Amino acid sequence: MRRVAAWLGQAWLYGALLAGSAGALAQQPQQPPPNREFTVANETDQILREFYAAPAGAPDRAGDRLGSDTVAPGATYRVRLGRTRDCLFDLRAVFQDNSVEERRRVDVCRAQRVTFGDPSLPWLEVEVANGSDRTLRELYASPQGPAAWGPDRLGAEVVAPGQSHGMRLRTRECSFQIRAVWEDDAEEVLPARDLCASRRLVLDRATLPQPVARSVTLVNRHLAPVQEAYVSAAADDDWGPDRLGADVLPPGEATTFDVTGACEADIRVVFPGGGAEERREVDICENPRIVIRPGWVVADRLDEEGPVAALPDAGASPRPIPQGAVRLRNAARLPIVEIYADPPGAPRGPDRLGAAVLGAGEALELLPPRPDACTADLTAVFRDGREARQAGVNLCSGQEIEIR
Amino acid sequence: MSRFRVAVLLAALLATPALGQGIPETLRGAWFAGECRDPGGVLLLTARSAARLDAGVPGRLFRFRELRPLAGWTLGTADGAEAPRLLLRAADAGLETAEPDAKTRDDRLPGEAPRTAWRRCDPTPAALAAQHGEGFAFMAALEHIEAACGAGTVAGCADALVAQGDVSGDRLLSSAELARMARGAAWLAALQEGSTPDVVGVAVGGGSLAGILSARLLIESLDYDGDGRLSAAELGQDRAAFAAARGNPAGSPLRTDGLAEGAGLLRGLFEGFFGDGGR
Repeated sequence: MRRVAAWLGQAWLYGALLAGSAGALAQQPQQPPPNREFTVANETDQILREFYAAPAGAPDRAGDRLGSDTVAPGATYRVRLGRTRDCLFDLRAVFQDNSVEERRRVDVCRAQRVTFGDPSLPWLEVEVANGSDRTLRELYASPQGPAAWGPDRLGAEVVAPGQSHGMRLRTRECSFQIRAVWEDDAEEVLPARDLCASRRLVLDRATLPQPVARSVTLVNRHLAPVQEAYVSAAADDDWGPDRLGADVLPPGEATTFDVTGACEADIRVVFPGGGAEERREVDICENPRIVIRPGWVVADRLDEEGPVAALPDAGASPRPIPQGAVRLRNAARLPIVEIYADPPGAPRGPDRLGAAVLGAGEALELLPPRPDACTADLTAVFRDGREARQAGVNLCSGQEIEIR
Repeated sequence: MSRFRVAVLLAALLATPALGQGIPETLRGAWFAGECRDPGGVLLLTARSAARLDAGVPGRLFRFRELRPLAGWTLGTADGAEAPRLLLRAADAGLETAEPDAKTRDDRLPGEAPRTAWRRCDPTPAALAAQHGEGFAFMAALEHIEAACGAGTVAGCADALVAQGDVSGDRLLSSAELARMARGAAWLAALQEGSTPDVVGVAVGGGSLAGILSARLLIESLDYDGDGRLSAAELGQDRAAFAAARGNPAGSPLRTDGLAEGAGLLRGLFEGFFGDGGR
């Protein structure tokens, strides 16, 4: 009986203790989950572009923890997971060449630093010089060559002619094949070379077939000198160098220079004062002699002298107006000597004709000063002083506007 | 240029206003730059036209559609996309001209336009007369034809054509007389295209003639009286000196773009005159 009483006494005691303990817990505030953070170390030679971390086994990986950031080779990034009691996370790293490395059930409570890549590998640093006259757009270096070129070692950068780029590789390899992609989409692959022995690599397009040089003659039949002249491949985004250099092309004179690349070229001439005329997609193989004359931008033939006929032959299809431009046609009997295209309400800016005129019956294509500045107040001044104005013209409409 | 287009353009051009008295009578004729022994250029003026030929540079043809006084000058505005202009005035017993660039507004003339002084030469420099005499004669004849065809009937237009082409005085046009007009037209066309004086001269020599102007026509082209022989007078017609080619201030320039098409040009030109002038 005493044993029963003793047991009951113990039970009561435990019950009292338990009750007391529960009461004490109920009186304490709830502890929030801790802030979980850890560091990602990128010890690869590639840019870490995306990083995902989700509780182990969770169906959803949530968003890219880097947001708009990236982690350069050799750099670290502090990943903040927020308040959570979870310690085990599935990690996923996406690198610049789209390669993916995944780690399952990583305990970020115990391992505060997660490393991708092998930090024991040495860095191989090579200076890559662009010895050509073209911009280097992409660069690949791989011990396996075409089997696995790996990432573009330039990333978002390009290497202009005459410039260099520091390429950093994390590897014990020394023999690399090189692949270069140029701005004109030309591609060359250099045979394997020892980059440990020579830390400077000059790319000069020497292995590419040399483009045919084509002679182009510009004849100035305007009354004003041509101050700048540009002839560039139609596929190029850039006008390239001024072909006249420090010279000008006086009225009545001609100049010849070599142009490399495809037959289709864009031509732009600039007169003193900034006025310019352009003609796109000219076949310079078919038209090696181009007479810059009033109306040449819409002329059927480019090698003819004299003014362009005001009336096109019946049945001839008009030349299409380039995207993002308008065509102004002088439908009066007198030349237009000045054209202004200014932002609405703005004071009159530079004469868009420069030293040229827009002859009677002739047309020119007018581009907006910037692609996003399409609306302008248009003013044309005829040679007798009369002005024709039109407000709020859409310079990007691709339409033809007759000026009378 | 098709005949249809010649006709269309003639219709448009013949409706243009008259040009008053044209270039002053005293200023018409041949003028020379530099020394008469070796002139550096020649300026040929008719009532409504001017032809300038400077050694080694492209020649210029002005077919004026407007002439008006301007600050002591006569301002002529020619046909063409850029409507080229020529300023003329008598100066120091000679002639002064200025050619403003296309950009200069009318109200700012004469501005900085380069000026050229011209003189008369007696006797006429023979080489220049041989090269350009026939062309100059045609330039003046064309104005008479334009005046008649623009305002008269078909008959009046035909009369004007015969009158201007008839060298022998028989009131008929022989093949030689037609060929002479064709040479003049070729000269005008070469000048209009901006050829240099040498090339313009070659055009008169028949180098650009083709088609119905065959070798036979070339041989016969100087047989003005139709007797099958060429006399000294025939050989020298319009070549020994510049003719008294004064032109005609009435009328307005006709489109002559088709002149270089060869021998067929004369037929096309005539059809153009008749097709529009006779309305």
